[in-house]
Amino acid sequence: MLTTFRRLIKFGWSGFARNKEASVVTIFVMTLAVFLISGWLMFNGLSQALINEVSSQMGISAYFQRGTNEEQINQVDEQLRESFPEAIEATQYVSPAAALEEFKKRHGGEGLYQKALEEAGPDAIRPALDITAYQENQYREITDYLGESFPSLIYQVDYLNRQEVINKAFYLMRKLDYFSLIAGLVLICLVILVVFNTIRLAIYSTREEMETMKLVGASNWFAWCPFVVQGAIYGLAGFLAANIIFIPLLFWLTPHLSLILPSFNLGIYYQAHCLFIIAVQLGASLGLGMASTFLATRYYLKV
Amino acid sequence: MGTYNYLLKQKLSKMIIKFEEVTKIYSPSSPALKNINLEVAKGEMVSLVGRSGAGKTTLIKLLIGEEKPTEGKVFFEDHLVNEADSKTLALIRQKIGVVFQDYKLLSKKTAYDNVAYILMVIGASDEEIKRDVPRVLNIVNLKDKATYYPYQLSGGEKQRLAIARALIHQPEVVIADEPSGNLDSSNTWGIIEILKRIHQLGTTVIVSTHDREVISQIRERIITLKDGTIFSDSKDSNFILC
Repeated sequence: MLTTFRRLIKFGWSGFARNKEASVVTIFVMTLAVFLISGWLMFNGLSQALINEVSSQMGISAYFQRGTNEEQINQVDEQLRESFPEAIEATQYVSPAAALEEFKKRHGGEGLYQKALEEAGPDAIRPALDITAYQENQYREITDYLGESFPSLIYQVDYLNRQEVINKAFYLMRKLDYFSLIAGLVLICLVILVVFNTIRLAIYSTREEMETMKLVGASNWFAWCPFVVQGAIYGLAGFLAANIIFIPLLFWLTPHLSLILPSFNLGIYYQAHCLFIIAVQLGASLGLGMASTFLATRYYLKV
Repeated sequence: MGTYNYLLKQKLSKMIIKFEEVTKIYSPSSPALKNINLEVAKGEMVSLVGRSGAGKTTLIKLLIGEEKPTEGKVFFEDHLVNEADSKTLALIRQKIGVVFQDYKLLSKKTAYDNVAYILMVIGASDEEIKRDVPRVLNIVNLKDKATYYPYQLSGGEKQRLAIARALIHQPEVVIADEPSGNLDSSNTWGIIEILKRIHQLGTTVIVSTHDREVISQIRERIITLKDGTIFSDSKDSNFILC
């Protein structure tokens, strides 16, 4: 069995080495396929980071009456989390001092804001609880709950001011997610079609050889196995060639992309997900190569 | 000698090939084979004679399962060839060595690998392959061209390579379809000699030909095909080529 396996690998390798022109074309197409799939995986990571970034900015703030202390706000926070265990993604207590500090940092050089702050007095800024939910439709319920349950503590929840922005942002995020999925599916279909047809053409010249193998007594699997091995070699070569280009390109792009989206580091993302990405690349390239060869050779095995 | 005769008799007593009411139609206006009934015993040497288009190659294709009969049954040993699954068909083909009219050599393998391939198909060990392939290539005078690809060989060399491939695994039956097709008379004579020798060792040999010289050299059972039917089946070498 081991001998037969070794022979089939050897036949596959010989077929690959002998059909140089067809092999080069097939490897090129396979490289392109792996490259596109890898690009899609990175785009997915990027779009997810973008969604997370936008999502984290999309919270609401509950402003409390002046004089409400941190302990009371923490109790509100606790009850809110108990009432909406599935909805709340994060909460953050913002003390008046911290809010003032942030305000000064943001508008320190702007005289008009400074003047307004001086006129309003030291108690102008109220304590607040920043709330981030998973879904935009949960904000209304949270707002209603806070208003109804803590009327004496809550001064205002800024949901109504932000409602339109939140809805638009979540709508765009959903569209981005949807687009990424559709683009991925279309890409995979195209890749399968192109790889399958390229391999079919590459092994078209071997159809007579395969028929002869069958006529002299080779079983189906003995006749097609070398070609499937050949397909696997195409896949492996495509995987290696794609990564020779892909990895340096990725690290070259990282600083450029960080300028546009500082919260996303392409290099770190790749390092964190490299096992998954390599598994997908390898699975796709080997799977495509072997499955395409298998399907293409099936027709020639009817003798 | 007595034991040899006894074994030969035992072999001959068993039918190895049987065609039962076999008809093959490619085009309804001119069937390739019509109602063929034929039996070949183990160890026999048979010349299948007839002009081009008489149905000789179709008969061979039906026997190795390359084509299926339109009607009737084709048996090889106990197997019904026309209903055999791919696994059984592979086993049947491993028991039949065919020298195809167009050689059907594996164009991307060397002469050595073409012959070795059959041994690999039947699961022979590396040692057996290293031992037997050079020996058989030597018999057909191709030892010096073991590393040549088929396109580098002449017609006669290709024919001899096809014979080496058909004989290497010592099949039960050897079929040669027009073995003299592209050869001069001395090469033809050499090939017929090889076929006669392996027949003497007990192998069933079927030679399909329209060449009178080949038929007269074989001098065994002659089946004459004409327009897809068996015109005659005799041991008489004074046949009429229809």
